[in-house]
Amino acid sequence: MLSKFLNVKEMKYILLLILGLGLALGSCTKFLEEVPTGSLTDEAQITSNPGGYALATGAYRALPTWTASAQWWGGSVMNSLEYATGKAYSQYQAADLYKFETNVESGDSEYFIFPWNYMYRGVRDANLALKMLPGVTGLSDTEKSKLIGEVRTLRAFYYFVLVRKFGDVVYNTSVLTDVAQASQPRSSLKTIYDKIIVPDLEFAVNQSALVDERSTGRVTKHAARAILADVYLTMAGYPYQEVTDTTKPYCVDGLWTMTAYPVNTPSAIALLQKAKTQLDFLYGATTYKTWDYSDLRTPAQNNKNGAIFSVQYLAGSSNNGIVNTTVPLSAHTTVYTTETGTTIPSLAYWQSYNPIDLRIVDKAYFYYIDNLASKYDINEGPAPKFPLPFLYKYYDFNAAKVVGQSGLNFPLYRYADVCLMLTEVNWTLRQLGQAVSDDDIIKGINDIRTKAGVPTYLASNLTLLDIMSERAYELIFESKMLYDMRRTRRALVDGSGKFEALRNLIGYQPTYFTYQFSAKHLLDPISSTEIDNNKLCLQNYGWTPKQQGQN
Amino acid sequence: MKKKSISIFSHWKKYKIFLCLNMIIFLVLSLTTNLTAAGAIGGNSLPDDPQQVTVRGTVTDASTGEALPGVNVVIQGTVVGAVTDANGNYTLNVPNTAATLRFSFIGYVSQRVALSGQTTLNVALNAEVSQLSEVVVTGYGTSRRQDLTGSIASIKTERLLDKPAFNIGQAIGGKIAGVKVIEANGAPGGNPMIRVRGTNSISSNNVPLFVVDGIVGVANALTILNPNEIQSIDVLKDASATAIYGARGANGVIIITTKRGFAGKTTVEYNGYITRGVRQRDFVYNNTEQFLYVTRQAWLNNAKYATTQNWPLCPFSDLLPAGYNGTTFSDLPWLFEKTAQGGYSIPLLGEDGNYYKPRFDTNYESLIFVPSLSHNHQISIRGGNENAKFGTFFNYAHEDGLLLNSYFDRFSGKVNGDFKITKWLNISSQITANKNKNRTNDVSYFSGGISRAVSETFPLVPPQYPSDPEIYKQYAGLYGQSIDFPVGEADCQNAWQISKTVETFADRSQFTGDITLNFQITPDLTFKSNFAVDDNSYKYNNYGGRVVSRASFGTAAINIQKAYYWQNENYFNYNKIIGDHSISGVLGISWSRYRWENLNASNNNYFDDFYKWHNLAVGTAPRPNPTSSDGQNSLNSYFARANYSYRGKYLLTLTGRMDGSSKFGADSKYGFFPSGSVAWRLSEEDFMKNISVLSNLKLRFSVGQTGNQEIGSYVTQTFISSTNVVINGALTPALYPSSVGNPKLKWEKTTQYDAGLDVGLVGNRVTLAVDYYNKLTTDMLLDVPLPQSTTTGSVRKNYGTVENKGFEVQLSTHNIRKPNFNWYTDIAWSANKNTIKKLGPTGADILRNSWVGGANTILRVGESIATFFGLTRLGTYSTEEASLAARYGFVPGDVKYLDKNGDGLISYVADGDLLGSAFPKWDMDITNNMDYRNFDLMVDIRISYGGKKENRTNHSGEDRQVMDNSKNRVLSAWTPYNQNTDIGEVRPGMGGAYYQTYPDTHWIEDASFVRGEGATLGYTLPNNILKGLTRLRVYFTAKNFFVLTKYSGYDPEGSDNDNMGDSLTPNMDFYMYPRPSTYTFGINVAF
Repeated sequence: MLSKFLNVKEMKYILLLILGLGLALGSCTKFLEEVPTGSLTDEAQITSNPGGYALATGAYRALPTWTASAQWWGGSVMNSLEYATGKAYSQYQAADLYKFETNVESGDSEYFIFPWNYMYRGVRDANLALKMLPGVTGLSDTEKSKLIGEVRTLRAFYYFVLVRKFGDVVYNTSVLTDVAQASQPRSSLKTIYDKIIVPDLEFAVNQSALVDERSTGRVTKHAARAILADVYLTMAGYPYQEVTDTTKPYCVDGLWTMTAYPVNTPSAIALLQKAKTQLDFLYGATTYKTWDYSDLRTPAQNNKNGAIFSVQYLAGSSNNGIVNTTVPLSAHTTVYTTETGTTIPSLAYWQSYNPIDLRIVDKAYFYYIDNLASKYDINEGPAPKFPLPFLYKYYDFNAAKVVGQSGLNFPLYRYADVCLMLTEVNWTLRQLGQAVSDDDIIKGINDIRTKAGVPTYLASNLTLLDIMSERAYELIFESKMLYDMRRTRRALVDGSGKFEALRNLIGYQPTYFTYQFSAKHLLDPISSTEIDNNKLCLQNYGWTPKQQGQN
Repeated sequence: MKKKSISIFSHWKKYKIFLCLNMIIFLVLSLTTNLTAAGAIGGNSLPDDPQQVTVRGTVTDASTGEALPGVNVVIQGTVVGAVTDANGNYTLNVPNTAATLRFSFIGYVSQRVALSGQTTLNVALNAEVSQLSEVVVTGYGTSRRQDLTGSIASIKTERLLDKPAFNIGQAIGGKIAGVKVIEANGAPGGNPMIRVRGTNSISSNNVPLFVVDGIVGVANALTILNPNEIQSIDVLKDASATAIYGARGANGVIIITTKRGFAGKTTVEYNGYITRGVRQRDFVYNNTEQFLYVTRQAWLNNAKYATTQNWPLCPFSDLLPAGYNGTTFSDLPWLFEKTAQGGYSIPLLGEDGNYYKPRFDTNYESLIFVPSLSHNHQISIRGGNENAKFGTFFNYAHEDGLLLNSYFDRFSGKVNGDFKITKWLNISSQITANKNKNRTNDVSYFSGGISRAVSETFPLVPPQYPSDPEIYKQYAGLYGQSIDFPVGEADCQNAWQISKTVETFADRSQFTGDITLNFQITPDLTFKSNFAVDDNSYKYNNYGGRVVSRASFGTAAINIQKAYYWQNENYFNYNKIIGDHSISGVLGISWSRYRWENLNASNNNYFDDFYKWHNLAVGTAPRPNPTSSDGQNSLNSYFARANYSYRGKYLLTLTGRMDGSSKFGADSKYGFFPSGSVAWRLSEEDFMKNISVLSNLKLRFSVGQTGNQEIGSYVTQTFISSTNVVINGALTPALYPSSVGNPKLKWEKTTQYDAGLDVGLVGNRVTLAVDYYNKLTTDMLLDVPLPQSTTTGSVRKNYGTVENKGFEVQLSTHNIRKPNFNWYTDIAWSANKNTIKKLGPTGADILRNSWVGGANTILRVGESIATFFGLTRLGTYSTEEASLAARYGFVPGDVKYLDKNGDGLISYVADGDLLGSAFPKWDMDITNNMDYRNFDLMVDIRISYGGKKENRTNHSGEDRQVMDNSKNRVLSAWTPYNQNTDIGEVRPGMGGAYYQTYPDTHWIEDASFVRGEGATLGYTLPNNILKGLTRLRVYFTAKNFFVLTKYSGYDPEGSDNDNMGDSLTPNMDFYMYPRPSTYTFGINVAF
């Protein structure tokens, strides 16, 4: 039996052939190698010139999150900042904005989780670029210096947002290689300013090959100067001036006691002087002098006129997320799928404008009536009467009426802000006993007031209330007020035709809030996901959720 | 909560009684019927008689037509006989041609046939229900059931045809203890979720490995295969069985063998059916009158719940007494007509002083989910001879969905052949072509899709306005939309309009082919070499009309994916019996590679709906965005198995596989997966032989390790991803760090113990298999959350342990065995307990499925993987609790949540709690089959106990009002006169009124159920009236014909997987596609 089978020679050959084939395959060691085709790995050598630019451009990736949505329908990172001041209103409450009004916000909210994650996303992107840029042989030294200047400016900006929102934050300036080191405690906000923000920006302004010119999206020296001026001005106030000991847990224990403003210390004076240098430079730059309120809502004017540094958007690719949140709730005035009515200045805020202010003329910063969008009414007849003034500042007409996607830039720094910072810096320096000319004090603010058609000020009777009011009128819903309130520890009291007063922030109750601000409200709660995943990170004073074991 | 559990118990009493009855009936009947064991066959002494005649013939299986080797053929009244050979042939010398032959074979019903002068006698034997000797397909081989040491469950073709099944999932659902099949929803072409012995993994997949005709890991097995073409399905459950598939075996292996040709007369079969599907239950939401009532009440409460003084902010305040600004009923002639005062139950006063009433009251559910008509046709032609056998199969199936314009079409064809080339070489080959087309007609422009639109579109809006412009103004002839009544969110779309203006097609073409060379080296040793390919492509076409796609003004997309897989497997099989020792073994080597490539393109802004997806270039989107990607992964494996048996009593199996996978990290490319198992057939021992009632008793024990290599391709490396960042109106390439790599990443390891007991009583009329298993998955893949301050947020690590342990009971009984009446019962019962043992470096909870209000599920050590999370809803604040409510910033009428940590703040995470598991405590399926003369009856009941389901429709349907239409339950919301309720006082979603909505106890419902899975009544026409036909059977089947459950939605099982579904957690419902009850008429013909 056996021999009958084994005699068959052909079979043997076939078997041998198959086995041979198999062994040939088996000996091919590359069979199990994994070679990704669509993405680079950290082993990639990025050496080309465009590769170098792409690394630097990566650091811009986090900026458009400025208007990203958060916490469901109609909520956004941007409108939550305004809501926290007590000067915003929402028609629809699915976005949980009412929790600011009733003091039941917590670190569980995306209004705090997202900014934390987004700004650190920017920090990590910048750290990778800073690690790899020196090795990019395709870049000239000048290009390298310029790109490093851009990236360090952006990193400083991300940290600047983080410290103003959260106080002490995690110090991270490298690319993590060992995940065991991922958890890090918070560092003093003073350390972050002194070791990261200021050195990064001073490098960009004083040492890098960045050019002193207008930004057309990328960071230029102008942009870096504007940010640096804001940083100095902020450092001259709170909480930087109160933190003298970087080992003390101010943020965790809420050890905030100081209220006097301006803060009279040599450090504050020195910082204000440095801010003045940068602001004088920008104020003198003629390129920004011609601008109009309509620039803010016209994508064609992106990076033009008064714009110094803006978040860049492009309809269809990276959309400005706030246009549809500023229009009345489901009033059918736009082609947007959702009209949420969640980004509205409060009625009392609007009432605090001077009635002759050109900024509240219909279709300047506000509007009072609109037509139905063509998709709802071919004749585009009038929409139902508005119940209150809505924000027109960001009303990108083409987006609202035609395409439903907005490429409108969001202003981070613009000439009007520089004007008002300049006045504030000069005014404050005089308050602190420094010699400043009358003209220096009023020139910025009066430029703004003249444009708005309201009476100008004399240096002799200009008050901090006037300056902060003007910032509120001019820079309404530009993500400035909350930080102004925190750095000055002052809040504007709503009034009729003007803001009534500038009050201590602590103890102040906004018109529509059910509670008074306390030490807790000088900072935002730390993101609950960071608390969960970074056991070394403690929660801010007064906020939840707390770290396990934290009192 | 206590109250609830008591009422569950009372319900379950009913179910228990039902079960007990079933058991009692079958026991009584089994005892009273005549129990006979098959007689033994004696020696083989052949008398030397010159008169004798030689009789030849072939014995086949009556249902499959396959040859049966080893059948005893005995001359009636003697001990003279023969045994059929490997091809089912026998030769027997009989004294004369008047003799009667008796054909008997274990597992088959014996037959007596008179020769009546013939010398050729072919016999087809009918299978018994319980079969010890049935052939079970193991990986790379087969085994007789009695020789098995591992846990393998099989379903043969007869049982698959119990009920018409559109896909394999439906066919095996409930039939195998330990295999859980959950139909995701009622959409045609749906892919059921299949889990073998629980859920092992969190970040990897849990889908069992499909092996179809030797092609390992064939794609889309669930949707492309027609159950009618299947010869058998074998499910490998324990490690002893699955270890031969090594790094792919941990989720269980489902081996599918399709039908092939046979030697004999060419047989043509036709199987066809036609099915009517209707909605099984209703989803109750408000009609127009109720909607207007709730809307009015809501506006009345606006001042109470608006946080700021925004009275004038109500854009539609005229549902209140007159005097407020805004639109009124007199301004909406397309929706309201004049009536006398008191002419409508709710006084709707227009600005013109007249009273109004609504024109429409639309029930969108009955408009959109309409009865369906499906049909399925299958033809097979099979036959051949000793040297060449062939099979040809064609199938056309049309599965129609309840949703308008949704269907699934399947065309398939298959040719296979088995050729005997020489004495030592057989070649088998097969080519299968499959094409299916799925129209879903659903839309994802807003979450919840069309099912949500059905219940949320305002009922006072018509599907389409009549064309009279006098009355309906600018809306005449147009589709109605909720926004025509200017109250709610602009986003809600008319379900009817969606169904008419959206088209979505998913096409899949799949081609598989294989060729196997089978060398018979010696009678005991074979060598098989197999080469197989699986080439499939997928295409998705979608167009959403200009109106329905809102700001996109028409949106079109075409996505294409191509995938290609090849394998080469070579292995030896050795079988040898030496005296009392039986030895067999497998030794092999295998290579395989999978490649894929995809391309997606889309556009929007169309000036006309004419072009749809046929011409993407017509769209004028600011930036159409094509994307593409590709990749591949490879496996190289070595495997071996050895079986040893001593006198069929003591059985041992050892298996091992070494797998190398490209998916694994550079530091751990190869893994070894061993298993071992033993079995002892006590019934073969002499001391047991006297127990006549005991026909089989076997103890099994196995232990082994398998892996799960589905860690994803390209996940072990640290990536620098690219994106485009806008700078000054231009897209600019950018690089950024996108992942934290882990070169140590490797397979998940599952160690499984299984102890089993097989019992056969009274000639195997009662068979029982009980298994206890304990599976521990270690090195479980987990996306470990990391701080975002320093990392991208997570890293994939082998960092977790999950345990699944449970019992499986499979009981089959032949209750009544009479010549004209047989009754069989099959019960499959299984209970699995899933527990997370270790989770990440710190063991910290991982919250998942973040949705409105917070995370919906939680991973926590000590709990099951599918654990719901949320707040505890205590009810609503009563007027007496005003001060307590104020402490939390609320007022009487607001929903009251438990402040678990008592800090005076409702914090979702800190106050949240475990709300139960989506996994049931146990599942059971009871199938009764009866045949009386030519009638056959099957009733299949399925029971699931103890699972929970999250009803997310409570978020938008109950927790908020007026933005969209609400569920009917809001009529029992809080009022000063109805304070004992879980639903907060109604308030308008717009106008500044806040409301609270979180995943909470109120969203969690008991998902236990008893389902009428299927019932079939068939009639086979008697042979004598069939001319030229060998078989003609007609049948009527009802499926899903009743569901007893406390769950309030469409179905207690499944998830809306298109909408925030989750492969880990079944039972999350956000407007599921309803699952129909179906009624089928079918026919089986063979000639």
